[in-house]
Amino acid sequence: MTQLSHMDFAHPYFGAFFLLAFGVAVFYGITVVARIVSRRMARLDTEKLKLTIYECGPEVSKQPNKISAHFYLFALLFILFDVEIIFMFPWAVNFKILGWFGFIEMVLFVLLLAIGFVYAWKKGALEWHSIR
Amino acid sequence: MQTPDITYLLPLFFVGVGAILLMILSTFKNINIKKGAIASLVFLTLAIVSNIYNLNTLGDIYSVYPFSDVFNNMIVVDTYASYFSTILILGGILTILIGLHYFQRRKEFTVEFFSLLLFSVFGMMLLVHANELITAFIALEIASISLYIMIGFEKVIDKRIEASYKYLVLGSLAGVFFLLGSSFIYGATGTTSIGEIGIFVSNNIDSNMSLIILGGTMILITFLFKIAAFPFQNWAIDVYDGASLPVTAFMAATFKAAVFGFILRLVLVDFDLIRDFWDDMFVYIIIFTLAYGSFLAIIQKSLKRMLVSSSIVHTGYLLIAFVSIGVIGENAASSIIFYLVAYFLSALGAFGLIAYISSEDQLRITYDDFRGFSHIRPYMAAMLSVFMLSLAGIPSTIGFIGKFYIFTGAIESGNEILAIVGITATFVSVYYYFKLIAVMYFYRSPEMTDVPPLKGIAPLVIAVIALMIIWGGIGNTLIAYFPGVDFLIDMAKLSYKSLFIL
Amino acid sequence: MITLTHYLVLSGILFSIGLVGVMKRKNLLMLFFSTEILLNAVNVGFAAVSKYYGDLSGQMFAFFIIAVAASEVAVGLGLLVLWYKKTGSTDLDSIQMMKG
Repeated sequence: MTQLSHMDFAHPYFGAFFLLAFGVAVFYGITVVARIVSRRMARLDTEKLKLTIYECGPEVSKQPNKISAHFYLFALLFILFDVEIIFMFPWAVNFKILGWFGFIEMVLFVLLLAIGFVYAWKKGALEWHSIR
Repeated sequence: MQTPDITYLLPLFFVGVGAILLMILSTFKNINIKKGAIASLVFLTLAIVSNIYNLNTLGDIYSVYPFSDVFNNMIVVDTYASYFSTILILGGILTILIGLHYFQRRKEFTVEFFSLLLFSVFGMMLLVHANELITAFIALEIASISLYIMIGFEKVIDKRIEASYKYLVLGSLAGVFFLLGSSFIYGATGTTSIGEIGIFVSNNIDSNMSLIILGGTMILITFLFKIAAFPFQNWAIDVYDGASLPVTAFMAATFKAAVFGFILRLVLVDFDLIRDFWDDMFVYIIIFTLAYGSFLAIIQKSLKRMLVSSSIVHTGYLLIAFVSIGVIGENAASSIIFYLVAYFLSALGAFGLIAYISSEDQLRITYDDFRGFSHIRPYMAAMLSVFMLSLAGIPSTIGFIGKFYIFTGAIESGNEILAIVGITATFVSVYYYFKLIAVMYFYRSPEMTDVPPLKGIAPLVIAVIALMIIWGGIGNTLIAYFPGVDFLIDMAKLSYKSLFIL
Repeated sequence: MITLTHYLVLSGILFSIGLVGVMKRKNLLMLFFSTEILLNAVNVGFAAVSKYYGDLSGQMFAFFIIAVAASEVAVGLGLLVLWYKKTGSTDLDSIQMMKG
């Protein structure tokens, strides 16, 4: 591996930076233009009737399949514990090289995660009815 | 004698383990808030004792990389980090002691709150110990995420959630800029270790530095955001106002110190040679920070919002010393550290006392609510006056000495304009600080009976802080041997030197 | 041939998309998506530079950034559920009680 000098490297990355500024300007511009265009194009006065929900007879009710907020809590917990798996992949690949030291480190790591899990369990986050 | 490596890390260890243990303890039903507070105080006390032990036994200046084969020099323990850790742990202890009364009064607070507070202190300590950009980012996020939750802890109050949300969204956006900056620096130098970046900069100072400067600017953006300097100050008032008072005290006093602790290390060690690039930018930032902060502080009616706005002004003072580092490195750095201590004490005292007063009633918010306060609670009014005097920088308080060092430093380093602007801001600040004193002493109000009497540990702690502030102002002239201002300044200078001995 | 520049350009594009998202989107959920895009843009940059230098630490940092991003989003989504229960809206404009 050769250490590149500073000058060699500065140019490509600087291009990226200018692209960043340019990109922000362009994307921002597009959203502004899109909003203006859609305002101009839309004929607001004729839309009222079109936007009302058509249901023959009964009153329009709220969304029927309302999802319990409980699913979100489960999803949150899942995300938290799921993402920690990424630390295990490099360890698993180099398991033989790292040896016992790596194993003990990973046990400590899993122990910390387990403490978090026990906390969530004890607080009743995993039980379906206990959260209001 | 060879000290085992774990000794260096004991302060961090105690705080971290304490946080985890408190989290487990909070699941038990029979642990109430008081027991949780005592447990967290025990861990923080252990941490501060081991920290002071390190400061005492390892000599005046030390700098070691504990477990360097495991941690890969990512954590450094030196006088500088230990000095800052002492401030931060003290901040945690004082916040718990002052806020205990407040926490017990409110139903929403549980033992988890103390766990989060310990996690936050842990993150801040890791931040000042960090010798590597990504470690610093993780530490910053540990501290910030705990703070987000602490702000929104009283979730029945809409204001708390709103403040928490604003801080979360803006704080994570600012954190991204830190990461982008470190990825630029990593791209330019091939390393993210703080010492090695400095070596790279000094070896290649003749070649093109623009990429490192760009990365440094990005990191400084995050830094300016976290300390609420001018272009990024708007979140501060809402967030600090929305948070409950002990949390506000904790944030205002300790978080600023931790962020300054890291950024001083980064700038002094790494960007020493290219720092003058940012000087012009900082001059404008300081002038606008001082002017806008003073303006905000003047127009506020609520006392809490006034204190928060004035914390923006204090950020401006600190940045004045930050600019003068270029010319008078040691004095300026030690004056920043000293001013951080002075502001830490004054702000913690002021916010803590107001938290104590308002823990029983929600009514005492604006200036007018304090009308005639001294006739009902003379001691509390006296303490509040001491804090106001110290924040305004009146002689015989610690705040005066802090400001004195900063302004003389600015004049020595040739930044007379900044000194003049700073002194003007100080004069303006006399208006909004003394307004409270005047309201408390020179008016009478008929109905003032709902103030909590002086009982419990909080008023005692606040009185001790008030005494420390006065001691810092007049101390060493009276009794020579008891550690006072000179001790703090000397320690700050030693900790500055410890940055460069490896 | 895909070189380092391409990856960095990709990183730059992703970053600008995320930045525009943060600025323009009013929905709080979209705000979090945009923050994730920003973080992952930085991840792409880190991984590319790491490959370029043959230094694995950059890829390690990407892992840590992913973990930090997940915890940040977990807090954010928790708050979002709370806010939605209170106000029935995930709109940014509903967070306007305090005018600072």
